[in-house]
Amino acid sequence: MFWKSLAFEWRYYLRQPSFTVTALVFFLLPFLATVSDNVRIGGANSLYNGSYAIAQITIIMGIFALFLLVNFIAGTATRNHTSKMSELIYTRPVNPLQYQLGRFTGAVLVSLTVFATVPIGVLIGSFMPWVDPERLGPTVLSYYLTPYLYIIVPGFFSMGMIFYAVAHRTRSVMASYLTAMGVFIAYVVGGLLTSEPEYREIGAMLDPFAVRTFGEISRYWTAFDKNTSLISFSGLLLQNRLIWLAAGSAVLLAFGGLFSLRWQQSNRKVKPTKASRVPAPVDNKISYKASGGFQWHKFTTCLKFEMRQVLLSPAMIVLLVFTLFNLSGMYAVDFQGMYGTGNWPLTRYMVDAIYDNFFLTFLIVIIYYSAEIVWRERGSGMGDIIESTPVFNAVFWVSKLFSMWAVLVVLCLIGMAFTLFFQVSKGYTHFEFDVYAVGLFYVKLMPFIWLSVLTFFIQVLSPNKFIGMLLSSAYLLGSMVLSQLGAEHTMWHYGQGPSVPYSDLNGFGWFLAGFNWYMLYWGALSLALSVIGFGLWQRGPENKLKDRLRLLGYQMGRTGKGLLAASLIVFFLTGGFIHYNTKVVNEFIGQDERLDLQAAYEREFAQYEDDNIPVITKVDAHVDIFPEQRRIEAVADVVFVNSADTPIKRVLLTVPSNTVEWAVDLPGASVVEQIDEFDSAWLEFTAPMLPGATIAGTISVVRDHNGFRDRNTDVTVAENGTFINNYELFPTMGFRGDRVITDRHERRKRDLPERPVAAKLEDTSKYTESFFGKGVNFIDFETTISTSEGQIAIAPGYLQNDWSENGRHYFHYKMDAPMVNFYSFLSASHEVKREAYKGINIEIYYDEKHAWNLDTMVQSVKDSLDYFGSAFGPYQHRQVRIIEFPGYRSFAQSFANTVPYSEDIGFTADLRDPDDIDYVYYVTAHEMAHQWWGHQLGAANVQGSAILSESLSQYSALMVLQKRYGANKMRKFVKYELDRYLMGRSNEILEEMPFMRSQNQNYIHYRKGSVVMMALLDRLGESRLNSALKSLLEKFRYQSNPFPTTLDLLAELNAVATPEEQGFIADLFTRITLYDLKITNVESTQVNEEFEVTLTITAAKYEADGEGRETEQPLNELVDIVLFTVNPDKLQEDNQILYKAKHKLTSGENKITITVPEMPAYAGVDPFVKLIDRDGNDNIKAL
Amino acid sequence: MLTINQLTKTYSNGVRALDGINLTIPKGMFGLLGPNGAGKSSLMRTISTLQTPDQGTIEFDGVDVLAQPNELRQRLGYLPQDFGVYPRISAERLLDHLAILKGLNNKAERKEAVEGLLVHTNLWQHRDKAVSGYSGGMRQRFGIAQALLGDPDLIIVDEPTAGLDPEERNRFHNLLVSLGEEKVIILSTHIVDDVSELCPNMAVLGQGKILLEGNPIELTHQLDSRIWSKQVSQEEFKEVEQNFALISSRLIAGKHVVHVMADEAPAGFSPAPANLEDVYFSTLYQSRKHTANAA
Repeated sequence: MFWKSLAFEWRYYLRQPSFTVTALVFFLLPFLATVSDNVRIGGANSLYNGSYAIAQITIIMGIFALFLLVNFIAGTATRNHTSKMSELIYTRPVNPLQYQLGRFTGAVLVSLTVFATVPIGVLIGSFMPWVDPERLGPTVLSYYLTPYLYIIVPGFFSMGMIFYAVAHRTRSVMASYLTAMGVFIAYVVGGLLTSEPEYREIGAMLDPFAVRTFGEISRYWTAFDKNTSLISFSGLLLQNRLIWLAAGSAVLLAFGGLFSLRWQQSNRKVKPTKASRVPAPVDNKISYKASGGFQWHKFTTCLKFEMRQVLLSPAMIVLLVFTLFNLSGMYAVDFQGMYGTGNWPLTRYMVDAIYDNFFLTFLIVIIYYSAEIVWRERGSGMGDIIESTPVFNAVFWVSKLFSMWAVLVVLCLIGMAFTLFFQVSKGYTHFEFDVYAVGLFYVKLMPFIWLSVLTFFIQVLSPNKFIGMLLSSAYLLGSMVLSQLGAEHTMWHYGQGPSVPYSDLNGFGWFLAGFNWYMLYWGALSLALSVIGFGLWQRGPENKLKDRLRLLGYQMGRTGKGLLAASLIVFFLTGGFIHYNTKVVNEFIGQDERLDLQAAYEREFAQYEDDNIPVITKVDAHVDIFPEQRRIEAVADVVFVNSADTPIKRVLLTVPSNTVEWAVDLPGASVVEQIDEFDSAWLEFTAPMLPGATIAGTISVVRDHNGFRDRNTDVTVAENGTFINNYELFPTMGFRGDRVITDRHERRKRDLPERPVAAKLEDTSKYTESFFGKGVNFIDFETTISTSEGQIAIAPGYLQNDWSENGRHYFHYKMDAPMVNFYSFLSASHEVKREAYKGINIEIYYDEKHAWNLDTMVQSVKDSLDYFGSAFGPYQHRQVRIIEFPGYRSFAQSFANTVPYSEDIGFTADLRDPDDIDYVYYVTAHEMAHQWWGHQLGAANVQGSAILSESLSQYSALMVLQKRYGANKMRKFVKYELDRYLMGRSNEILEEMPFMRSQNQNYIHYRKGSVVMMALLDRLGESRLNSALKSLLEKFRYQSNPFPTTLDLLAELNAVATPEEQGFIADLFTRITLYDLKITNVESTQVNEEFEVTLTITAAKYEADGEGRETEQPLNELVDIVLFTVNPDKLQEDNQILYKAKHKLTSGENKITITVPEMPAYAGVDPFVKLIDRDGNDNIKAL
Repeated sequence: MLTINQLTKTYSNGVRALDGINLTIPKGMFGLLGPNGAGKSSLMRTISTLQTPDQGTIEFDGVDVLAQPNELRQRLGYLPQDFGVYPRISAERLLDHLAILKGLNNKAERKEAVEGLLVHTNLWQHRDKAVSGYSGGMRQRFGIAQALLGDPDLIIVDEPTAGLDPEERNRFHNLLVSLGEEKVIILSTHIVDDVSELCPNMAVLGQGKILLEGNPIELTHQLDSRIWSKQVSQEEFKEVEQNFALISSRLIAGKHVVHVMADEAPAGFSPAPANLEDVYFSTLYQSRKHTANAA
């Protein structure tokens, strides 16, 4: 019986067109992803047919396969019912268990067969002759088989059991689709909930698709691992698959009806109701004549009817419950923020949270509901009756469309109600209903509103609702591919507009203006589609599109034709206007086009890279900021010197974007050639500028904005919150290395030669070049800024004078000491908090809505001044200013005595929970440290330059943080940093560098920097380490000939270290060294009053190359062994540490016995992350 | 008056459902007889504006039905052969909803008409139950009720008595008759008695063609004294089938009683009074013979 019913399912589906179609789709996507650069599934930086890429494609396609699975499995489970065969089948003598299991297994096998086309697609794709052979490795069969066998096969069985049971129980395919949708959304939301490191393992364990399980397994895979590592069916993956198989079996056993075949009929009890007792009226007149033509009443009735049908349907209730469940995840994790510390629930974050939660739901809702609503009459079987009533097509269209919109609006309202509740529950009561209204119900919702018109239209053209759903989904997928194929402009993406970020300082700013035009554009097209849509509305079961087209004119009527014409006119006019604004007035460059342009720039100008350029030594800038017009007029009096030893004849200029007028007036020099394509120009001296010569001149620019853009809107100048630095404002000199393509593959595609990311550490020719760039040195600085009355304008320097003139507010700043040629101009209407501390004025310029963390910032500045001042040397300024700028950009940056600080970093952090990392304090300290590392100590423009500025700033900030919050709290922070480092190296696309050679690699100079510096601190101690740093600073303070390098840092460290420590430092600095420490066993026995604890530790040390290929090294290292009375994640007090000492560990197994007075709860090897451990999770073991 | 001219429809699977149909249907009840698959429902749906023919025209009281479907719908009452209903809506509310769609705008009139129809179709006691939970016969009665809403001038009922018990069928017949003679009522059925009881005019449809058209009584008269019957055994039946124009056979108490058509009495046959069933079956017989000869 089992085999017979299995074979029946198998033969049945093999003949179905859905089998061929799905197999083709599942073949094509991976095939295209392998053979074409334009289609990408997952973003692997590895070989196309490497183990990682294949596994990733297989697993991601496994998510899509959910719907394939429902199609086959639910089809099988309900077929007897839908084809009304059940009474025939169930009266035969079949063994129910074998019969059902056979059918189920058959359907799963069919799905698995379809899915087998995925690895086959990659395999065949990898043989295509035009694929870049550099991106292909050898063909290894196990790469294809392991993800299929270990992840997909058990996944299909477990999910299949659930769908089978649901479909069998409810006798509804739709119920299975809803379940699938539920599983999918739960998966997405689960991802949001478990993104923090401490929840990752749970997330990996419970992921139905094993996406995060694979993510966890491959989290720290290097480029080398990604090409060759196989997943094994053990550990997390095994647990995950077993959990789901168990869950699936349980559901199937409980609801699958495996043991009996029963013909089910929903026989509700018939109760006598009130109605039955009312006597029937007699002699009612039934021949009242209908007056068919009047449509308004029909419309309102249909509208009410549709609304009721949609909003009170069981599916909607499921959806609402689901949505609330979904949103309640906001309580589980902190949103936004850094290092696990959340932000205050500002309304704009709430709007984003709702959007993030709803985005997928909305797409699914639109696809599902437009099918349901458009086909409601056909689906219920009532079509013939309803459609032969004298109701205009337009009435159906509009009432149904409105009910679709009502679903979306109701979901948004639910979202808003929830987030309001959330805000109150978090103690935040500054409700901004205008931000909800515009941000949520207009900016976020409107694109979906228009999209639903498109899906309605598609449904009307489709012969049935499933084809309509398929086409709608195909459109959505296609629109993603569309941008990869070059149609990037938002005008090609139905319903979409440019992004509209919200800032508490600047509101919606100018973003709404452009967005409005897009909405008008899509609104007009939607109206046109609506008119055609109701014109072609299907009435009757056999009404071919061809026949409906014949009656199109009649159905549209005069009004419809007029509307169509008008909407098309508006559509084309607004389209033209948008085109004019975004592509004529402003520049629009697609991704590929930009890369081509970068390549052309490099070909044209790379030869001039080493040309000498004049160096600026003095700047006096006159800057007029017109915030309301977003316009800046600036003139800078500049003094240049030729500090090179050869004459300068020509200089390449680069003009910043958004510059409408510019001039460089230097005596004896003139602009001889402008190359608009690259915004470049050649400045030529009539008489070459001789070595040592100085000239004074002016540079002037007018920066302005015309119309609106599709993307890359300039955010440096805002109505409230201007923040622009000198390189963004003034033309720059020399070749711009930051303009070239860094991606290796993109370079090779364009035949560009290999290009080092940074100059070699040993390249002494670059030692006089600052890491800020060629020609950047210390300058005398002075500026006069004007801005609107009511705003405060700020630049580096001390305020000399401020006055009002002609309705504008002027500020004169002057710096009293040389500073790096890197300055900024800011303007906004700010509140100011001032405090004086040991002769230094601390000022914070903030938005009145964000006054939460000012004291933290001030405290951090004070502590930093104290610690850095005593450890490294005096602060060079008499003032520290922190200035808030709009969250369009989220970073903080240190300029001389000036620290612009994004509103999204720190100003809105919610620091009420003392367990959280106080990252506001830390970021402030980091930026303060840059006044030493970066502004006092420069760095040569070679590998490792960012170590001197960033890693040393990380270290300094961590020291201040540790002083305030204690060493025990640092563990959480450093664990974060180690994790980010290991992930960063996994995503490296070029080559991981040893620490001292970091080249533009954030994960090294920030993340690894923290860990390395903490390791040094542990090994050398605070005083020796600080004295080395202080000595480095003293040698190189304001020094530019030469600038220091990491070699100088290494020398200073070695100078204070013992030979053994020097070996350790070399491991940290010159090699990529990784450790793998693990407590395999820990036992404790009571001996008299004491406890004898025995730890078994396996230890290994590896050296990795730039691709991540590891070779084992002998380990002989002193490592922390710690016994805790509490879980180290909850460590608060020193007395919770029973024992802490360094023990020597060697490669292989180590046994350590410790006697302590109390029974420990946890044991840890290197629990405070002093070493770079590949897997930190096994370093702690509970007793 | 409904005039149908050269109506032709071929489905995408190649079935020619309507094959050059010409019909003129006067006011009053019109019966459309035909076996399963003859094209009755296709014709009904086409007249009800739910399907577009490949060729031909339909005109009702000066309205070009195919070009101006909305105008016809204002005067149409249609009961499809097979229909479902929205879930979770009571008969009364659904009927009220349909009444509005038909254009019964006056609330009081609408209420009276809806309640009246519920009484007429014997659904009054079940009016607040969901129609989706009705049994087949009840649902059919609901269909009849909705088709009569708004006093339509053209009523098309496609196999209305299917699934009705004899009592309900009688009730329905009475209701149809009471509607008056000023309407065009097309009754499509394969039950000959429906037509003979109700219709002054009728047509027989077979394989998409009109095989016969006229007044049932006159048509029956034409067969007078040409129908002969005989009770035969199993072996004789085969013989009769081969040698005579066998129109119908039925079993009476386990014995075959055959009707044959002939101008003279065949040996052993006794004369039988012609009825409409004989007309119907003889028409189908001739159509079959014709097709067989053509092939």
